[in-house]
Amino acid sequence: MTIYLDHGATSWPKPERVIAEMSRFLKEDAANPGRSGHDMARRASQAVWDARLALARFLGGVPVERVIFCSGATDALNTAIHGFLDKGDHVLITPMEHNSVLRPLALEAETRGVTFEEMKADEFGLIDLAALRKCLEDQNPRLICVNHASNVNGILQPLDEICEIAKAQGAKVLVDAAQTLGSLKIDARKVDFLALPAHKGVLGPTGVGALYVAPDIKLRGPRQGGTGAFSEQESMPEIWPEAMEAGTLNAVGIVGLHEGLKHLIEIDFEQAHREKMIVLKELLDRLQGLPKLTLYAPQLHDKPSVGVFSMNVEAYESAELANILDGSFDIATRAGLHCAPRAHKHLRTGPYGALRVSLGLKTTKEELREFEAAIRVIHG
Amino acid sequence: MTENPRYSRQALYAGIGKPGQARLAKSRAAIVGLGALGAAAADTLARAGVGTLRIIDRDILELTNLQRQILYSEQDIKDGLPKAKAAHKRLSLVNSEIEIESVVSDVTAVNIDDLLDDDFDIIVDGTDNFETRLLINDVAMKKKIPWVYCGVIGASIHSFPILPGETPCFRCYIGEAPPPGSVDTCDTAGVLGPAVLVAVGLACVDVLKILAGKTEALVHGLQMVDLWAGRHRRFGLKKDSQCPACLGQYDYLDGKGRSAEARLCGRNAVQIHPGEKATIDLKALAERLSPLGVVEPNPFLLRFRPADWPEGELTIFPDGRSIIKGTNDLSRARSVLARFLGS
Repeated sequence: MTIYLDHGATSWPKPERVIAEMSRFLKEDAANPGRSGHDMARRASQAVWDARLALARFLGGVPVERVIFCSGATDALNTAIHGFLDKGDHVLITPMEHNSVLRPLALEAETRGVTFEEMKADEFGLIDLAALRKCLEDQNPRLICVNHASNVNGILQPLDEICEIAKAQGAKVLVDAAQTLGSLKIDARKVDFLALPAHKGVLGPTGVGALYVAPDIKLRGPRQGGTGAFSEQESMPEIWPEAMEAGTLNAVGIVGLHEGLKHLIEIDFEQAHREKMIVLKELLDRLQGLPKLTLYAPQLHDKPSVGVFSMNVEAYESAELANILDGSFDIATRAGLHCAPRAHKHLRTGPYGALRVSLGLKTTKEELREFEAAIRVIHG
Repeated sequence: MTENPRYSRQALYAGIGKPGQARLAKSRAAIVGLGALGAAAADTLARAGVGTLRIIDRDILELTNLQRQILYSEQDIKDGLPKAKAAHKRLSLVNSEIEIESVVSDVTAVNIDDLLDDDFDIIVDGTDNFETRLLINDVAMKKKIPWVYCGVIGASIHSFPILPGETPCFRCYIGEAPPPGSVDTCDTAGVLGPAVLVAVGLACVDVLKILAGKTEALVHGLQMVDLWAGRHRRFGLKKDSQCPACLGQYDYLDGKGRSAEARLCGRNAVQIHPGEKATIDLKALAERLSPLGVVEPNPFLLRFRPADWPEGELTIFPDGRSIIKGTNDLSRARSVLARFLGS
């Protein structure tokens, strides 16, 4: 049986109830949500609305119509960045941003003259709040992009404090919660944008995600098209969520997302996460004595973090390590730059990146023992 | 019809005759791979007056090619030409009266249907790996295009003609592709120029028979020649009643055995996953590769730095996957792998 330590890429296995409900929906209710008036279409619409409501509650009770469905976190981040930024805006980012933030910003820089700059951070990528305060006063950014937890080393940013500081200066905060939602309780009411995928911590399928946008934010919609209602209007309706959701939604994916949320609540995901962090810390304690090993693991230094770390073993490139773990030990990890080149640069992992190990809520002590044993054999 | 004096000696040969020559002029032949075999076959068939030649190869010329690949010159290497373009240039000088279509491309399950369309009268094997041969076999069987298999390693030659529906096919003979690294290649065992010329002679006489409409003159079965020892043998081949290709199931066209490549982020390297999991004996492979460069095996992988490609390095894993460093060109990575692992 594969030992799956690639939850940072996507979670696996998915809960049975996610698989069962998506399958049931496809068999029984899969008409077009929000379009026709027949009973099956009504049930499909209801399923989408139920999911939207459940997600709004899961995010701490945000206004339900401000939760819009997307194809994933990348789509959500693109929608926020391209829909919000105007000519000449200045943006602050963490050094740990993913390409799903960096590349939209690069395009904004090219097309609208937007400028962006990294916030000061410690060696693990943790933002320096005092420096941020100063920076906000000096630079007057319109948006701060916060990679809530890094997909490279798991470092967790102090969201409450960042939001507080930003608010005082009138800057908006965009949170990429790809690596935190489903592990940590997030109160989205304090942020301005929150992007999330269904297929990671939420344990749903790929191809669906959501963006929460605070009620006072004006946003250009990402695309134009059918919304089911308001067809008489030539342009997109102003009412949310329709304004942001042209085209038929991925209803079966949304149903899977909803079911994943129910599963998380049922299993007490916060407790599961705490337990995961304990076994992770134990693993790292055992690994850290190995002389040829370099760990990129804030967990070892009691820094706020989630269940993701990276490592390198002397004389091996990360891609070689991942292949050995997969081919000889049936352990799934991910090597390289993890679509986060700046994070790797900040952590100084070297030109070939690092091997990333990312845990799921169900990763066991025994699995991590086997991983450790494999690393010891390879390490020699 | 006026007779073209260019081909008079060939038409004079009773086996071909004037009608046979006229048929050659109307024929379309595809040559897949323009290494030693493909280049010599292209030269032979262009001189013989085959009306249209489509020549296909993915590689750029290298100095090590010149010893046996007769179409190419030092200038072609200086010009950095792909083999298909250098061959096109040379063949146009050899015979300006025929059509030459050169294609610089890998041949894969995705594009082979387009590259080898129904109108070809024959396909000639100039490849260096079994994966592509099985693919050619599938497309030839599907479209009922005769093809001639031909391979040379060292001084040993294998060749046989395949007439879809009539003779055993290549898959009847070989079954499945051997695992990567389990067979010798020209880059591990070497190859003699004269052996190539004999191989091309064997293969091209079959091509001429088929194109001239003299299939009754074909001598069926596998010909094996050890040119160094002076041995020539012929083995009868039997149709395999379970052969999927003969039964109309074209697994390789459907992607069987198709390796998957991916560029590695942030670096000049390509990872290749074999289409099917293999078991490579790293020790044996290390022995085979050690004369060709620096080999560093350990229980989990083998690193190999070819002497003739100083900036390159191959990392080969026991389940057949590999990382080719020194290029981010997927075709080039596949070529390098074929050279050293035969797949």
